[in-house]
Amino acid sequence: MFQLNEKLKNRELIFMDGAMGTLLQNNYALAPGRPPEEINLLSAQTVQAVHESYLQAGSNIILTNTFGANRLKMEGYGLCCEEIITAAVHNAKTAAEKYGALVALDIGPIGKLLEPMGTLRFEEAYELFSQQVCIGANCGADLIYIETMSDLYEVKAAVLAAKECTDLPVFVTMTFDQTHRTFTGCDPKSIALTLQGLGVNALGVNCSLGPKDLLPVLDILASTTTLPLIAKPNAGLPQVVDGQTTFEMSAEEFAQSMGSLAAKGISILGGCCGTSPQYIAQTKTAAQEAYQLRTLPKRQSAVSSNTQALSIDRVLVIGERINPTGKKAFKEALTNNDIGYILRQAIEQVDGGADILDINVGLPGIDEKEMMVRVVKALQSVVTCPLQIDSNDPAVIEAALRVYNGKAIVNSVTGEEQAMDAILPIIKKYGAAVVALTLDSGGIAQSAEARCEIAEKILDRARYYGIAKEDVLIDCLTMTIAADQQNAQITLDAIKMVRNKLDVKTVLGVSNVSFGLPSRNFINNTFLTMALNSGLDLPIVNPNAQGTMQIIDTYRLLAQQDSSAHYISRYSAQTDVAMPTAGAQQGKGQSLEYLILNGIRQGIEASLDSLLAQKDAMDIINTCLIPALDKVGVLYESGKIFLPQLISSAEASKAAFEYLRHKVGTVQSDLSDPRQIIVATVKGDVHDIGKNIVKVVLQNYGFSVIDLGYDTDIDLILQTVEKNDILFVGLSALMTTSLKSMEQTIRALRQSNYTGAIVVGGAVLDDEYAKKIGATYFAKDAMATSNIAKELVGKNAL
Amino acid sequence: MLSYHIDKASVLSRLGYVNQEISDSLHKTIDDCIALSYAKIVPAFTYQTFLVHVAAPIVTVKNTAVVISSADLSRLLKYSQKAVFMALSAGGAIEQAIRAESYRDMTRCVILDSCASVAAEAMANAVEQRIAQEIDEQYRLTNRFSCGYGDFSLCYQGALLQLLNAEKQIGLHVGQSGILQPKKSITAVIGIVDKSIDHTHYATCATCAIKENCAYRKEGKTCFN
Repeated sequence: MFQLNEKLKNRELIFMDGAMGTLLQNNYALAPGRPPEEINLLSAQTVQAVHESYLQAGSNIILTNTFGANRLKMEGYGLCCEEIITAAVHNAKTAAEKYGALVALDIGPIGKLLEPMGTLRFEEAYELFSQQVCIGANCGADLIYIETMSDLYEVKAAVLAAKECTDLPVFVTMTFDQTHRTFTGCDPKSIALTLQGLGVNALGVNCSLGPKDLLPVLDILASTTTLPLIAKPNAGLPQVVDGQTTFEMSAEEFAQSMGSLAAKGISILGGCCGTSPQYIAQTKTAAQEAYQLRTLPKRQSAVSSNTQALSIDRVLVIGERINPTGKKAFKEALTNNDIGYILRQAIEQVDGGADILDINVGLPGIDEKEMMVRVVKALQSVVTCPLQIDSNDPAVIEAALRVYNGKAIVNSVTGEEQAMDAILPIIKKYGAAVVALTLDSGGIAQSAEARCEIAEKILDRARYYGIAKEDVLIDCLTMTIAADQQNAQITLDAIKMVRNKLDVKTVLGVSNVSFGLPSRNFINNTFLTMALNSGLDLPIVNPNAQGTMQIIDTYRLLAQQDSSAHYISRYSAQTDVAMPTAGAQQGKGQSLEYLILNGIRQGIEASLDSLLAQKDAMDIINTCLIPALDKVGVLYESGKIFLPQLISSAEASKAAFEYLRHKVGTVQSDLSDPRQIIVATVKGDVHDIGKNIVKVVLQNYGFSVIDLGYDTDIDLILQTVEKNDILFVGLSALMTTSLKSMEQTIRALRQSNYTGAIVVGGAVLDDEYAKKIGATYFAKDAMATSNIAKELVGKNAL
Repeated sequence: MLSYHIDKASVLSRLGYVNQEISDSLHKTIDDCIALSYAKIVPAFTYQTFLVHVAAPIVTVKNTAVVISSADLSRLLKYSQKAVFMALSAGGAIEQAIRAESYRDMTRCVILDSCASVAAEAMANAVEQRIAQEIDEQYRLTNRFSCGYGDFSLCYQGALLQLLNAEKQIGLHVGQSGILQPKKSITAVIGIVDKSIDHTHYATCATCAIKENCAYRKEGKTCFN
């Protein structure tokens, strides 16, 4: 029997098979439109013969004919995936037995795109893969081979399923295009960091391009991971003539290129589209001659999302603002399930210069685990930077790491026995990095030496659980100097000590240093500079605080971590003295009405300040803001302004409302109504821009809006209606095919006790159709919706 | 690689622009969004020629299991023995950028969305041009016809993608309701017809689903000449 583990350990050459589908179809006349997996049942002989041809060519591992054998795909053909997989593994094992070769359960993509780009939920993908791997393992597959993937999230679901449901080795290969990313934008470094973390046994590339074109991808994988690498490329680029696909490379050319991959130390070789047993036989000869062990890369401290990998070899900024501690608006957002607020905080920090975002959503009365999962999923749909999961509850940490698409940091573990044994195994399982706080059951150590000792203790325990020290980031803790002025120096000394003695990366929340003192920003920034100079790698700061990013950028420049060209391009437009922006000039001294009509946000605050000196907030809203908005409405209706201008005005007015709220707390207007408006794009439809415009315009008339997002479950709408006092439910659908879903939603609402108004909108709707499906109103655009809202609260529409 | 151009006038037109006064800052925002679109869009496309048989309203794609019931598509392909099926996508990164913009700045969000739609359309035109160059001299292409036009149901999106192996070739999927994922993507069918056949026999406004709102017709033109 082929000794896989030994071969992997010794990094010996392993040969896989080549293309399966085309060979099967050349030997068996499958009815058009039927899946090749069905041949497992229709002609075991054909499948076994293809396997045998690869075994004769020298394959050590053959893949079962189960590429698309997941429940979703097979049900579409009226087939049972259990039956297919059982037959496929049997066919492969029958062939492999006499060659002592191994059988890998082949798993391809599900065929549906996962959230956020698609609508298949991560948890559903996991269930589908679990079913496949359980059947395969029960039938005696020797390993799991996940291939032709372009979405790292889908791979993660499959790997977790394989690791949790079986104890078989797991190989993963993904496909890349000419930009050296996958179709979903994943880059090789992020893939390698994430999959090595998840504990796969080998990883690499398949399909996509020819061997030469995939070399740059393999080079990046090779410089990131110590795992054995797999190359199973196509025979060059495909050429289609009259429906017939051929590939450009001959077996000789292919083998020659594969030989050069072997010379670079790629040890697991096979072929994909356009290859045949001949290609594998020749590859084997060429590779055996050329193979050289590759020099393994030094392990590095690095984190990633699915599309952006960051090596911690320069100062990286962790944004601290997604945290409810001491923030009233943030707490309100959490209580009201306002994920949009959190996303805006995230985007502002990334725009401000954050490289990584810390996520803390712990608040009494909130289900932290559920909220953390929602926020992580929402965040990774809008930002590309890696995330830091901030919680001390192991259940919350595990739930977040499970749905995170990349290699995250966890903040944090302490030196307490219980905490280490609860959290470190989770870090290991999901392959995350972890912040280690230098405190333990004795509390915060009072000297640099004692903090260094705790760091050492946590590193030892991490090593025990199989976590590399590069994945442990030491936090030497910042204490306020208001309590003891020595505190700052102890922290700085500890940073230097752990770096020198333990050779680890350090992380530090900076702003605690000034707690209880006036002018905190000065202290924070000075302390930040001192900490950077002591060797701090990962400051946790507010990147939007004045001066913070300037300090970090200039530090990076002076410490030669950044090119001067980059610094110049970022700062050349700025001078040492802060100058008012062009926008501020533009809006300066203008009336509130002018600013709203022209959609200018800069200058709004100054204008409101001078108005507040003369009248109260409600008066400003009723006599200035709403009339200005009405004028905007008239201009839009008459075609004097067009959509972007309408929205700019709405956003300017929103800024005005927010500023008033900030200045005087709750603001009321003549249109204020305690009832809520629900807006949602219906189930099955993912178009939400129209709905978002409606939301912005409604909010700017002072209405309160609950946005349920897109692809909205009917149940969620019903629950929200039940929990709140509702002015109306607004439903949006852009496709003729999702109108059905809109109709079902309206029917469900009517069958519940909801008797209020239902407003529908969307490009394919009209008045007549709206009435037909039971809606109360059809609104052709955002202005029309706000007119309906005004009518419903008893005010005259435009 | 596919070269395409995001036409500012088309971006404006999609946003409902009819000669309103535009400030310098709005012009700049639009220019920025066009530049951002080029940076975020990763064009991917695939097309393949198939033999077709038409017996209205049924179009059969020979040697495959695809059978389409559409009187409008049947009319388009009435004189075609072969048809080109195509699919393209602007990719996921632009979609993420649009989503992020919806939290940063709604004005930029709608403009960026419009840029991406114009880009997808421009990419479709570029693919079509490429196909036109590849066909024999004696043939020409019919109009491009997509699911959702006339009675060509969106339900066929899945079949079209499968025909082109588009999931593997260009990472294009179909969700519920026939929505393409990523969203800024296009699938279409184009007939190949003998030049000697008068195009009005197979392409007329009468079969066109958008004849009431057609921008060409408003200007007294048609889309096929």
